[in-house]
Amino acid sequence: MKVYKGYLIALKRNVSTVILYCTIFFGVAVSMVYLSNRGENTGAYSQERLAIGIVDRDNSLWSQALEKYLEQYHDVTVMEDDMDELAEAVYGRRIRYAVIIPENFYEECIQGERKVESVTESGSQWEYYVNSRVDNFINSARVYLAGGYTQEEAAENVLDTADIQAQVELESSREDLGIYNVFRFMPYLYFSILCFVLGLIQKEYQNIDIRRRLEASSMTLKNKNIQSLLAFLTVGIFSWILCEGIGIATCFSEFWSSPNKWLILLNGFTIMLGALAAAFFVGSMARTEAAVNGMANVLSLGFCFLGGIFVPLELLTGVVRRIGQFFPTYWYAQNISILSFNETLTDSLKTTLIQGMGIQILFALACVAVALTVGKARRQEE
Amino acid sequence: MSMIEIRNLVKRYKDTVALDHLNLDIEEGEIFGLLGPNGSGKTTVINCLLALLKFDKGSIKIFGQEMEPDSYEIKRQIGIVMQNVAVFHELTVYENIDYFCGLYVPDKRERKKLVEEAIAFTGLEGYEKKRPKKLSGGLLRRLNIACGIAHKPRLIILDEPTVAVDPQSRNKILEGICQMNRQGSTIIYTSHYMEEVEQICSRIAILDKGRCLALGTKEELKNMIKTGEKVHVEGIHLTPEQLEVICHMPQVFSTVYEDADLTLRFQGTGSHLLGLLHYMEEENLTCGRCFSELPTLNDVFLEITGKELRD
Repeated sequence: MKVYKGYLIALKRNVSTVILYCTIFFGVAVSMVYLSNRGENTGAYSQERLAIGIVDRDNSLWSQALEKYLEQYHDVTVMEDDMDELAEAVYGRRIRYAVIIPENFYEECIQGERKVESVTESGSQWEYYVNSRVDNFINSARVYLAGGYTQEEAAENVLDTADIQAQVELESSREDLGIYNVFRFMPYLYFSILCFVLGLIQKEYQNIDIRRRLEASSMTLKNKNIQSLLAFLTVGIFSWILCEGIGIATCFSEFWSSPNKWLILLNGFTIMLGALAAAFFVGSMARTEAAVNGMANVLSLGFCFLGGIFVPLELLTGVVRRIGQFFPTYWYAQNISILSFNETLTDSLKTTLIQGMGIQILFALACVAVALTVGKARRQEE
Repeated sequence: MSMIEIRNLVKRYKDTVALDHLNLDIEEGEIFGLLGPNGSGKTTVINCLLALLKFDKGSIKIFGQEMEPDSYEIKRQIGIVMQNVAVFHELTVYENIDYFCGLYVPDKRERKKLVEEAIAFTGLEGYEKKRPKKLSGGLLRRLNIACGIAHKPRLIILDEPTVAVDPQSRNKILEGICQMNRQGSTIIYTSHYMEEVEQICSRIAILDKGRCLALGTKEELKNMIKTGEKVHVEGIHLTPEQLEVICHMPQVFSTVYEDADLTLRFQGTGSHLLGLLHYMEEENLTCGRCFSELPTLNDVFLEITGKELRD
């Protein structure tokens, strides 16, 4: 087991780096939990009125009903039917959103499937906000019409429902959940520790002279590969115990009272596999210590920023979210969000969780496959 | 039967022929030198010998068996010292030697003894707990050697082990190689330093462009060439007539006279310095310095290839 022990001895030499990362993380995590427990952020939400414009091309009962409906929520201005002017108004922020009600609104949008046109900043939060209001209006109208009401009665009822307001009081918000705040950042710890430490160790094994010395030895290739794999798994499991242990120690009672605690640990294990594979990739690609540091920084910070670790997923714009889906951190963040805010997991949530973990494992396999392929090509060049 | 038999070995890198139908036989117990300039194919031969490289044609037999990438029983009896220092920077001197010895010797107690012997052999006592970063170039080279020989192999391959090493460490390394040979190991030693090869090798193969140009003991190699003794006389003033007489002395085949310095090359064996000094006495000629040189492997290489060994 000489190859296996070699990895562990080298890890022992780098344990100070691991301790440094963990101490900083633990300090930051404890202070975040302390701040969140002061209860200054307990959720209080208020409805926001947006300045929106309306272009009415239909001028019918339903178009006027939609206009009135939106007036109950937003500051509505009737605009000229001029696309340039609408775009300029949105660009100049005089309005946040312009609704264009098409001709034959009833036939095409309420009875049919056509979408109401709009001009707004794509991917913005007000796009979702006003879209959901318009969709609500259309869905309510369809419900009343299907219930046998006449068009006039249906339009009146839809406007009446807008007056009903529910008082929502959240017991906790994202900001004051210790589990979410601590475990959300765990991928950064995994990627940093494993890419820096294992990357450096693995880099030495990729040195052409050391590789040749190993190949020239009497130890079989299979034996060497098995020992390397075992060493990687040992380091991975060690870091998993360490990182999750820090997480548990930071929010001990909250963690043990969570019904999803085992799934949180499992989710941590899958992201650890992703980080382990990334470390293998870094160690196989980098030729110098500086390159290992550079790659480890780019991977850990890049994955965490784009994957919704540092910035919550719901604040990421559409393009970033789509890019983020290629990274295991995105699926980890989605899973940790589900596990933190749902005490009971529905079948659909369970499926999403399994899918997320599966993608993290697939990422790990793909990463190893790419590293092996590039490594083989590089060896053939040498 | 030879310990190593290389037959018609051909290795190509795309359009470049690295080894061109190379044939070599290396006998047990000898220090066999592979001499050649950079790029002559020395390291390629070593890599083929260890089955680290696939070759295009030919065969290699070591200990009477065909060498393949999975010939682990053969590999168990071979020690390799790479051209570049191949050690782990995260491990100490002791751990490095123990690591590489552990690839051959699984028994911990036996390995401990071997590692300690290797440390003593390479003079690394006192450095056991140091990391390679803290070692000088010479000590690093010794560590590199210790990692390759700790398991006491029957065949040791040293690929330019003295590159960028100070003279003191170089002498220590060369002494160590001779000692390993006396203890029963067969050595293959590659270098482009002819003095080293000449000093320690019992047989030498001169390689250039992947071909073996000459093979034999150093005496046999020197006898293959026309050049014998070389005589240099500095600060001598000759008339054209005197120079003519010297040019026609017996066995002189080349004369160079420039800026009062005279260089004569003689054919065959034996010393010709006395004859020249006798003539100078007769002619009342004085000089600054006068000395003679016997042919070196560089002369052999120069005559065979038409270029200096270090070109």
